Amino acid sequence: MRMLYLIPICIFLLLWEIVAQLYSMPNFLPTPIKVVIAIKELAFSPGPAGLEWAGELLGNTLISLFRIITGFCIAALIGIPFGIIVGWQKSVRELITPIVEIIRPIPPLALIPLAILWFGLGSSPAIFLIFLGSFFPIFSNTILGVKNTSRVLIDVAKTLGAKEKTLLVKVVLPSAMPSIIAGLKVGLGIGWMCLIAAELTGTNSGLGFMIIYYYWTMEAAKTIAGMLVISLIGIVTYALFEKFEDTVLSWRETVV
Amino acid sequence: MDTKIKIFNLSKIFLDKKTDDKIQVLKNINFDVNVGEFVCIIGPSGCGKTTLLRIIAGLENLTTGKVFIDNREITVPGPDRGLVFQEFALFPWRTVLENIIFGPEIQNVSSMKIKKIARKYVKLIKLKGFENKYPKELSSGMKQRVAIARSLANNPDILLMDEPFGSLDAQTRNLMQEELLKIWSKTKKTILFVTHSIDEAVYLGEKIVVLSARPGSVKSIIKNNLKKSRNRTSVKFVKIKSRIEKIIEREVKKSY
Amino acid sequence: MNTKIFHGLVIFIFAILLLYFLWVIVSSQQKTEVRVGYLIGDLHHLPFFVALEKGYFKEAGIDVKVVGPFEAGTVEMEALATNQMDIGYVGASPAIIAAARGVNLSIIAGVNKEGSSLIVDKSIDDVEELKNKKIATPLPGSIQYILFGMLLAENNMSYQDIDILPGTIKPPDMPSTLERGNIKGYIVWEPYASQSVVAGIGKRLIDSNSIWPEHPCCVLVIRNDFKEKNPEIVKRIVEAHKKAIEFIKNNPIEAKKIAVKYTKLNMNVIEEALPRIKFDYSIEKNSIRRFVEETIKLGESEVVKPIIKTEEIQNITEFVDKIVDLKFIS
Repeated sequence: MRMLYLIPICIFLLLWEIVAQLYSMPNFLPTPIKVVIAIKELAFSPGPAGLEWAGELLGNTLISLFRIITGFCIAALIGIPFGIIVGWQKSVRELITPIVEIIRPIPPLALIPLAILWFGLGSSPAIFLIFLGSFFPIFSNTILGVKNTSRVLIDVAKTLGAKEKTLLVKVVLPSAMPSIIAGLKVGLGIGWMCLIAAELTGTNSGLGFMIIYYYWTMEAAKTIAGMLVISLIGIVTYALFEKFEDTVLSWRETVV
Repeated sequence: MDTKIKIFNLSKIFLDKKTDDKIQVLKNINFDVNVGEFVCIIGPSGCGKTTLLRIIAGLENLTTGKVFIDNREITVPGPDRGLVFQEFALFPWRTVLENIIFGPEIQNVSSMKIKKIARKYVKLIKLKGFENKYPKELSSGMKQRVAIARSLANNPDILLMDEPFGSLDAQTRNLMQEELLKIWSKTKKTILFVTHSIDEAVYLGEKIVVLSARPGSVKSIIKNNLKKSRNRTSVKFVKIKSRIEKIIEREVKKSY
Repeated sequence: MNTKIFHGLVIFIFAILLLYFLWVIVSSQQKTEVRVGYLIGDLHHLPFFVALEKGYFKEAGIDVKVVGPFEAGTVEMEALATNQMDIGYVGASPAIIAAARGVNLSIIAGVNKEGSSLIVDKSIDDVEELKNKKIATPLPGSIQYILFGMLLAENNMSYQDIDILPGTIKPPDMPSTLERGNIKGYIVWEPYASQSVVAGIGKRLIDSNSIWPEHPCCVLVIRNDFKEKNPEIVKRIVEAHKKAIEFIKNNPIEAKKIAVKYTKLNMNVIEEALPRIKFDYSIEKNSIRRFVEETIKLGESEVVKPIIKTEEIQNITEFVDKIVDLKFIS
């Protein structure tokens, strides 16, 4: 009975096929079959520089994954410790908050030309933009988690002999984990969007570039194929994250 | 007998930061606790018993006076004074075992020793088989036992207990009282026990400090000479109980 | 009594509004407005700018609505295909690709020949030295992209030897990107090629006419359904176009002034760039056929990534016959 979700998908595919056949412009709405052929072609044509063996589909996917992982990890490695300190020390928070609140509202996508100016062409501007997009959710949620640390638990730890460093590592950090992980989830989603947008200009590799390249050469089937890959990555990442969350946060009391 | 704790002219005034109001909660508290003694503190609601305990634990500052432990003045929390809270305050992300060994763990005790300590205290609180359960899986009584074990595992000289059985049902409460007395006779710790149940105070305490209504001051210190395994229905028991009841009743009426 | 009158009034007003909207829609369909598109800052499209400035279209009774400018040929062809415009000044290459993909269009006149260059960083002297350097081109499928491919083939290289950036950088941004050092060279239509030379940012490594002398560049393209419905209008547009080309030949000084106005670049850039463009309203079917052949060949030999595959154009001669319509320029 769990396979019920296949039915809406099949209906959708059928409708797609029918509409594509009726609509006269062949290139602008390719049929699902054409998309499948496009996927095959993309899998077996030579990949981007340095990754020719992987084929276009896998090669560009790997490049995009490299960028998102790098940008996201930097954002997490800076955002979490920074967030803990800012959340914990009122004095630091008062100092840092104005600057952060000035930078935060700037949509990373608006900075694409600037990023290319600063970092040149290639992976660097994309990684920078991913970092910028992922950082704030991670940072803010870490601060929230830290601020919400139970007073009582801090007191308990103190009476068991904990000094400040121990408090941060053994009480504040685990207590803030649910918030932090929520922030990581949101940050990853935003980072992924920034990645694809950044890849539409300023690089000649990656899934975003692949999508727009085939838009330019009027090969819509390949564009759609690329979009499907992006969607697939989204689904897989989300599922992995859920799994991770359930393992690390298995101690949580849930309402449902 | 040696004095373990000496409370000297202790007063506490709270300053409300928002309204600039001054509230005096404790006034001129003076009493001693001897090594290995079980002392109960009792008083009407709002008389500052919890505040007093927190000051002794080092979690709150006093306004005037001093607290001496082994003739040394104390101002900060430390592993020599374990505090058991009414809300249990177990670390939800740690298992029963991990909660119990928190103190030794942060004191960098060797892992061999930690294992021994863990086994000993799990046995003491009769929770063998539950070592790897998370707090969310335990009943209130079990949680409180873990909280006590956690404090004891750190081997403090003094155990400070703030209405630890307040949120338990009557039967569990009585059972826990028995357990506590057994543990006390085994470990010979100095115990300072806050409660608002007169019955509990008389059942457990060798000495009962009765506080007045706010601002709390020492109204009376009653020695309890009843032998161990006290009978709640014995004449002597009832007499001491009613004595305390009268004092408290007077205090309660005053505050109206 | 009151409610009845009120209801009547409301219905009456609604009816008036409805009729008004219908009238607006119907009347706008019947205008003899022609929507014409062109490429951003493209000096090759000077005949269009001249025809607008000198009022040749108006004289011929044509109401021209300017659509664009577009940043690239294939984008312009998509607009044509989706009925957002009727006629376009565009490179022959994007037009051919669109036709191969099933867009119903015709090439009805030439606009220019030649007029593109490969501009490089001053330290580069040779096509060989482009290996592993970042080179920008307009969109894949543009003439410059194909010409670049032909240049690579001549030198036994392929796109995999170059860090090629097709379409990533817009032509107006190419000079500044070269100046910053983010790319080592670019191939593009005038005037963006001369812009770097005049500013001292780069040097001309090779002109497009050295790669393929007399190569066709921009053409006038039209949607077939518009062509079939309005042959008279099309004839008059082509006439105005011819007139504009004559004007450029006979009045270079004024033509250059118009160029400055429409490309927003300095006179000295225009002076450098204009002589390199050959404006010509004729088209040879053979040149178009060669274009198709080169595009397919370059893709098959993997000098560039394939743009048109052989399966898409079964018979090249038939294909060229179908899309090149010479009757308006005779």
